Amino acid sequence: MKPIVFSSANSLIAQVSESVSLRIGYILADEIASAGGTMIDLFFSENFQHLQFRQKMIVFEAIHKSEEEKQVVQDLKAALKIQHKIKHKTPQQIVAQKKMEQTVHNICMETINGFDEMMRLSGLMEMRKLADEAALTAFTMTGNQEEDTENRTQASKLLQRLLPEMEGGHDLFFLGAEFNAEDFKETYTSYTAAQDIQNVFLESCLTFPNINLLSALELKAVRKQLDIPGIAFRKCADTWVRMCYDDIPVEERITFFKNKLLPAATLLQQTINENDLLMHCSSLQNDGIRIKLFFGEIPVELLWEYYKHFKVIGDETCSILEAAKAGGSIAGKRWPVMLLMPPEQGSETVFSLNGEDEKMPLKKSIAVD
Amino acid sequence: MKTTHYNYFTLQLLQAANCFQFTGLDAFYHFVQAHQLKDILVLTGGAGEISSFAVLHNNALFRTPTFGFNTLEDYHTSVQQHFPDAAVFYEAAAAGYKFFEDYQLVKEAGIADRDIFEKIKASGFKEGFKDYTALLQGGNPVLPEINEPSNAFELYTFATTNGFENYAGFKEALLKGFTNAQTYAIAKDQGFPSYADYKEALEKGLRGFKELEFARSKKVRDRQDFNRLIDLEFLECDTCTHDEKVLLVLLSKLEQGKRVSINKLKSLFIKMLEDYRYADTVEMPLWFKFSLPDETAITAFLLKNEQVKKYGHYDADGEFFEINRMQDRKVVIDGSNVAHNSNGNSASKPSVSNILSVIELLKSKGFTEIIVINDASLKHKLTDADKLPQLKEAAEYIEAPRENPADPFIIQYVKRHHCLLVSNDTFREWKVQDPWIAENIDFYRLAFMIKGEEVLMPDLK
Repeated sequence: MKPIVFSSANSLIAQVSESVSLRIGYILADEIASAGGTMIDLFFSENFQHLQFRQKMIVFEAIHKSEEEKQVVQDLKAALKIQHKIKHKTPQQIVAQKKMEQTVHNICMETINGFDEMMRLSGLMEMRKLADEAALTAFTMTGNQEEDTENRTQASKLLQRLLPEMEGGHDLFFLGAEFNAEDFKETYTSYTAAQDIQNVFLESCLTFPNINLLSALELKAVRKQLDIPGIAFRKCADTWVRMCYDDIPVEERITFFKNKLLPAATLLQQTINENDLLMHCSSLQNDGIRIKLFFGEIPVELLWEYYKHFKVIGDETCSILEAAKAGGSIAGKRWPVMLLMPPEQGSETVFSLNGEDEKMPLKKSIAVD
Repeated sequence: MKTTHYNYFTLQLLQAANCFQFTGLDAFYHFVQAHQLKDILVLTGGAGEISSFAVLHNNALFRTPTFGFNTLEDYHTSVQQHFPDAAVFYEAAAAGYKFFEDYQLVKEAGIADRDIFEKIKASGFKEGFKDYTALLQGGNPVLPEINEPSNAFELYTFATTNGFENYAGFKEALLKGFTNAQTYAIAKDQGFPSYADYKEALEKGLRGFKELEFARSKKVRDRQDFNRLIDLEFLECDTCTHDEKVLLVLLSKLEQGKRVSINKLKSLFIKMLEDYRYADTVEMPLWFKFSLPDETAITAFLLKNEQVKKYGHYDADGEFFEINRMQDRKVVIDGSNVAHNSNGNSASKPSVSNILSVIELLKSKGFTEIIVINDASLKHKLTDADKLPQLKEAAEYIEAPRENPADPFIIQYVKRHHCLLVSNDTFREWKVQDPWIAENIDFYRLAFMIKGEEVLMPDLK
């Protein structure tokens, strides 16, 4: 089992979801792959220190977005250009140039430290300590997700499962909690009966405490502790994933899912519930909150729509996928996915395909009458 | 010591006039050494089997039984390495072991694989076993109870099964009470000096040694207790005791604009205090400091404390507490949320106008202390960023540091000041991380809706 978690850098909540997904994948699967820029971002502050000034300027320009700021950047660039043209600088000019360069560096570092803080808050930063682990791999993508170079993966190929390393692999896409967001629900509530290949089929298989509280060392320990008890579950999951990709009849797949995968998950759940570190994790929150992990199948076009809707993939990737869809390559196909469902305070999360709109909450107060 | 090499001559003894027999190889060996003899005669029996070693010296033949050794060098090596006899010595040599101690370990522990033996040696467990035995004899109370290993192999097996790579690392952990390398690494990372401390923290639901030390110093019992203490300590009013802070929290949650009799207030206060009692012992936490033992103290506090005035005022004559109107409270606006006029709809375009509309409504309702907290990135997304100066004039404006989300700052602000919060965000993700948010944020949060020019806030009746 090798789940793939896409980077979602657009909000702290999305990053928390990404962090939890990576962590669950890390302790549960043979291998977890991060797709996107997360694994690069985790080391960005470290790598930035070693950049040449010219490269730092590119970063400097990229982080200043408003017109006002852009003007400041342009002025600074112009001043630096003049400085660099001077062949025999006076000591004062050298000092001035160094000061300007230092200013650029400091401003960039302030922003980068902000990125780091966000990643620390989301729990992603802890994954940095696991970056050397064979169990944590990456499909690296930068700004242009369709960049076709040796060290970069094309998002469209990954999402069509066209990469050579995916051949025969049991990779499945790990979707975040946003799947249940109000504005996306509408997209898939039309999908109803699970048996129909056109529809969504999702089952809650495992629950975890908020493992975002665990350190990298603790995650390593939990992975090791769950390794042997998890063999049967991973084996079943692999078989089921292969059945999905091999287009085994849907009834057969669902029967296998219910008769083999779910019982294996129940057994693994007992081990999860009894694990010391995970129990400690629960006690840290003091409220028995559980994150639910769903497994299931969703139509490929919905999977792509999900990444498009949440702006995980760019326009170029979307166009390629649209073309593939128009070519009929994914018609009638449903791929296996893992789905994270965030906990709700004090109550079990109910995953409803037909969730009602949330009522506008009113402020609570202690009644005095 | 330099090893002496001898020349061997095999022969059959037929007759010897002056022949002396040593009682053992040891004496014979010393004799040979003492007289610096180099030529050793190997005497064979009738069937050609080696029966004795002998030397010729001063026209006499000195002999000794071989006791199974092929050469004197072998005998010497065997003695040096403490082999009990020739049979064991040659058996060990055939298996590749030079030292009796090693061979004994292999035999006793039943190690069939030579590689494992090499690993035991390389990882220091062979020597370490002696050290471990000495540690046990020393009666170190920290040493954890484990099935006492009877040899180095058992010790090695125990340690490596528990993730240790060498004896040094194992000993370091062991002396602190740990028997598992991963647990030790985790505990060390969190600053725990011993397993007992780590275990105590685990049992209490505390994280890191610093938290444990703090909990111990404050006599905090467990995580729930810890959170309650921290929440009360964090609350604005540095000079207040814990029960005074609980009373302030109560006042901040009461229905605005109402009058509460002192008796009712007292009963609500007692009820709220009761929540701090431990469920099992029904005792109050030891850290909890009191200064409001009776009604007199409560009324005195209500009359004199400055923080109380944020929530209302006490009428001593009427013996009631009049809770301020909502408008008299400080209010924080979740700038990004209001600017988007959404409930998590990231697709909507944010505008300052939305925030200004909410401020206008709040002001029209009589709110005076209005603070807007924004994400730093919001200004880049605004459709009407030119109105930012207007916003800064209309309310106190705070921007979270660049690339930092504003949510933690908003939450901290509300947590400390127990002020009102305008936001449609239910802070669901944060509720998971912080029980205080889960239990309290809805007491302070005002929902809103902006329809065209109109702002609806159902809480502002």
